[in-house]
Amino acid sequence: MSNEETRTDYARLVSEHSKALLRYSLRRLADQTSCEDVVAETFLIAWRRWDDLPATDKELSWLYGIAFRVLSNHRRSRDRRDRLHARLSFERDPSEGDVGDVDTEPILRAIGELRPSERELLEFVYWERLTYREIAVIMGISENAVGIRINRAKRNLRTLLGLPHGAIPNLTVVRREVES
Amino acid sequence: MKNDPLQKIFESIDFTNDLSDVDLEVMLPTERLLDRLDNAIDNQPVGLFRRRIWRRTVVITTTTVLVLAGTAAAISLHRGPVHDVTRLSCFAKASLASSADVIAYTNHPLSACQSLMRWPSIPASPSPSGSLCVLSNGSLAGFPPSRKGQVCAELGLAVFDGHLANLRVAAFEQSTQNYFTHHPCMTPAVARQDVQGQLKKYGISGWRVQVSGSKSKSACATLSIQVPSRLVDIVGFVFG
Repeated sequence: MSNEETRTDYARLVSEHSKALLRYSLRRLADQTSCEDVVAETFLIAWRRWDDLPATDKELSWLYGIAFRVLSNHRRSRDRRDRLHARLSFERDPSEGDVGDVDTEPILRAIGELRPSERELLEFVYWERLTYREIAVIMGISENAVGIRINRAKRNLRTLLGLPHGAIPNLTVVRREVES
Repeated sequence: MKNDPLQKIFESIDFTNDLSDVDLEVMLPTERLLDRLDNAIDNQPVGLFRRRIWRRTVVITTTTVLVLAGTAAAISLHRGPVHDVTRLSCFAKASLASSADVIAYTNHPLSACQSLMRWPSIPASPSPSGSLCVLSNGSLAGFPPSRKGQVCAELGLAVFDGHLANLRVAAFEQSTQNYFTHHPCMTPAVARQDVQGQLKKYGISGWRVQVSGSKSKSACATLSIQVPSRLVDIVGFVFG
């Protein structure tokens, strides 16, 4: 592949996946500027590791893996996760804030009490909709270990939410009571 | 997954659900991102990482090996002086948790500990085997031989630096000064005898004992021990 072709393919990679990576960053970081930096840094590393670029259908999870490490570096200097939770908890206007009339405060508090690794796993499952296999590649652990840890994280989250183990019938326990 | 209630919970706190791709494009236009990346990658050959990683691996491996070797050497060579020469702790086993007897200093600490604690002796070895380490309080401790070999390092203690001669001198110095403190007015002749006796007791040879000043029977002796010149200077003087 010539340099020109590589650059064209690289531009395609950026165009196709920058939005997904921006969403990934926005869910985890407080400020937009940092998110833009994370996305740019991720693609820059992708350029340096161009030889490792996988098949098209695995490109995004490969990029998530890079972004996961870029974010970890960001978090080492400042715990932005707490700031995100604080922002979501305190800055949102209660009248407009909650999605689908669910009170997010107890949820955020419960998720905040999970161990960071457990939180990260659940976020990959429910936000990025990644498979166990993809998460295993990203985190550098076995697929089996991913399954075990996710089940443990779910169990812990249910306990923190005060929900019974096993199936959760509905979300009424976390719904805000609306005054008539 | 579709019926997983946790899915709904996570969706409820995902504020990016409110953002369409158009919103995201406004936040971070692809063109702007590509411009930024173009500038950044201009000076970076594609696939640079793979070339760098070998260099990095070599550097990291070399550094790790050097650090580990240095640490091992530091542990094995960690030696320390004894500050408290009045006591010797003899341990029953090569463990700080084992029972120990504290005895007065002796010229042959390992022999003393071996006979006191009945350490197993090695028939082939004519000299007593065991380890002399420096305890955290600065005193000397004897441990029986261990299969692990480096007993002091295993116990996190400094190995006694081995200068028994220095230890003898320090013990002589301390013991003699204590003796003079408790006998404030000895005649110079008696003092000389006592000092020579102490030197013999601690197995110290090649020292001079010099007496000067008054040699009267009513004179009291003062003592000065000069270690570098191996001299004990006794000066007699008469009060009043």
